[in-house]
Amino acid sequence: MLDPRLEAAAREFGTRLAQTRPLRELHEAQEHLAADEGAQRLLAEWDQKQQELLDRQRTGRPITQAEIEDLRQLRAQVQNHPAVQAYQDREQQVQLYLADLLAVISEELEVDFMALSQAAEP
Amino acid sequence: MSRDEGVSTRADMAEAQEAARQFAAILAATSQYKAFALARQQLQHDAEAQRAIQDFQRQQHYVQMTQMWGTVTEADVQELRRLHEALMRIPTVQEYVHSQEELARTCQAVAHIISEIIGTDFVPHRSGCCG
Repeated sequence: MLDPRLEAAAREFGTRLAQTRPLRELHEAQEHLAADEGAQRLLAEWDQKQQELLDRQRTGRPITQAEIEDLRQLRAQVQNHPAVQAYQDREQQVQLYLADLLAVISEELEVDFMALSQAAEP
Repeated sequence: MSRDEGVSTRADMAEAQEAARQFAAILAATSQYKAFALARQQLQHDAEAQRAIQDFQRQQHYVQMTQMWGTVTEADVQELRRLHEALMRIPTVQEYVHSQEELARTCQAVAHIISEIIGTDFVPHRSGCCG
């Protein structure tokens, strides 16, 4: 059971963070990416092809060099798309921004807040 | 970035850092953090526990090295296990580990709340066993 005062503080801190420029810009980039039909088409195609090849690999069916090359080219197209790039740039900025804030919390508590907050994924 | 944007970003950061400090102060006032801080202090002043930690760490380092060189023996690993078990029998160590687990659960819960509000991971994910 979480201390109600702490829960309220976490909500307040989250709300203030959400209003900061890096987070606002990330969500704008996210919205632009979601609204960009060309980028969405590429991402869907990439997902589908990648899934298809992974399924074949899992079931022991052969994958040709041409198919791997095709997937590589598609990945390059996705990564070079302006809306995808803009989103990734913003995401990277937010990660740096949050890392700085996590360091402030750790310093105040004299404990590695990030390490404590990370629940290992199975 | 324009000069105005730079100023605004710095102001933004200073404000967010202040909000982080305020949040940390409330976290520091919880029973979980206080129990952890006390356990940490007691552990630091427990000479027997400090000796056991050093013995364990020395053997852990030795096993890691010999594993890398391929010369580790079963006896070395057994000794590491024995030292770990001895360490975990010390009450101040038990209290420290227990209070750290409780604090970790609290931190994970608040990180989850913040992540939900900001719409992205507040704390980056740590990968599991396989990278």
